[in-house]
Amino acid sequence: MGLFQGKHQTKKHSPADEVRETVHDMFDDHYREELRKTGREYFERVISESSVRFRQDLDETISSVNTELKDYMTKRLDETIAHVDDELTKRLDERLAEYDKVIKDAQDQAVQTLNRNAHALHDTSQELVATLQKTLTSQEAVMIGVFEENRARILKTQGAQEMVLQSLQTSAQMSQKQSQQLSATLEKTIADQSAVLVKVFKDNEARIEATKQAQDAALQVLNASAQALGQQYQQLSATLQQSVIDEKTMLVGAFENNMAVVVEHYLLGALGEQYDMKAQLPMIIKQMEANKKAMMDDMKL
Amino acid sequence: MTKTTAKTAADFILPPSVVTKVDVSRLVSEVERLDSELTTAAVRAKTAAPQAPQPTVSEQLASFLTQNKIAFDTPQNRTALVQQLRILKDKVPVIHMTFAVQSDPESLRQIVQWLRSSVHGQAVISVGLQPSLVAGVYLRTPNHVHDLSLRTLLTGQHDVLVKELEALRGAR
Repeated sequence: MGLFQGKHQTKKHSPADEVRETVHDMFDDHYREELRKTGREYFERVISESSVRFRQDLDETISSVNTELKDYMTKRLDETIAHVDDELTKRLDERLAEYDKVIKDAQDQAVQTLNRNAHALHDTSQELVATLQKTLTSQEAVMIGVFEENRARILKTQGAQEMVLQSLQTSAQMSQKQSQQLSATLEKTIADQSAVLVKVFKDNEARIEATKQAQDAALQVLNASAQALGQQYQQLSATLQQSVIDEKTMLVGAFENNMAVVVEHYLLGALGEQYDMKAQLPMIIKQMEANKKAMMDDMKL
Repeated sequence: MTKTTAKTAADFILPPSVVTKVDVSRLVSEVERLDSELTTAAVRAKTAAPQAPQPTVSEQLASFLTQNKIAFDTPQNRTALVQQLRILKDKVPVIHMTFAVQSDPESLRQIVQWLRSSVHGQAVISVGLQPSLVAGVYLRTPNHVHDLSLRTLLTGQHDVLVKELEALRGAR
């Protein structure tokens, strides 16, 4: 270390010089550097502590400011709200007072109007009652007049009816006379018609006679036709009998042919069951003998 | 079997037991088998190997060899016989005969004997069955057909039967 760097030098100096030298030796660069470092660390520590403290103070200050600001704002808002409330209450009271006054005036006017209307209605009803009484009186007078007029008309109508009855009786008598005349005319017409019919009947009698003769002639023709038909029927009957006989003959012929087939069938069946190979052998050899020449010729080919 | 002859297929006499072409084929195959067995036996005899049993001969072949007097002892003879029998099998005249009933061997033998004595000496038959023929035979040679059945006979006599029935009706 720097403290003992110059200790080997044993040269004698004055105390002041020694002190100076000692001081000079003690405070060399290394020592100064150490001091700087120590100082730097000290200052850093002081700054750090100060900054922590400053930060704490700042935080406390900010929090106190916040609290105060909040309180202040709250207080201001309360004051403002109270002021607004007062203002609103005051204005509302004023308005309500005005409205009450207006309503009271309107009610008074309405009451007065209603009173006036009631009086008017009363007067009108009295006038109507008077008018009705007048109308009833006049209607009654009119009805009585009308009734009198109708009674006179009814009396007049009765007289007219009697006159009509008389005229009806007169017309009935006239109708009776006319019917008598009509019956007489009808009887006369019937007599005329019967005379005409008798005349017509006499005229038609000759025609009926001619018709009867024509019918007789027609009957004769019909009888002749019936005889001819009878003859034709007999001829047809004979032809039919002949046809039946022919058909019968043909059927018998066919039956005989079929019977030949049936007989053949039974014969073949019976023979087929009876004949065995040994029994057939002579017949086979005999037939082969009959065809021997043809077989030999065929084999030679 | 010991006599040596040089017969051809046309000279062979077929025994009555050889009836159909199948019998001829059987003869050929039997001769071939016997030839093979006898040749084998000869080889065995030369090598002193144990002898095989004596080969058996069918009745048909025995009668065929006897009737034709054919020597069967040397391989040359056997080979010639096989060749001629093969020719015979190909050229033997066959007559197809259809009967109405089942045929028995004895009847077939009689028919074949008649055919060989009357028509052709080496004729064989091919047998068929057709019950609708009723009786008789339906015979087919190489170029012709002979219907000798009872059915055909009756069909030809149909008019006669009808006349007989008419006569019977007239008699009533």
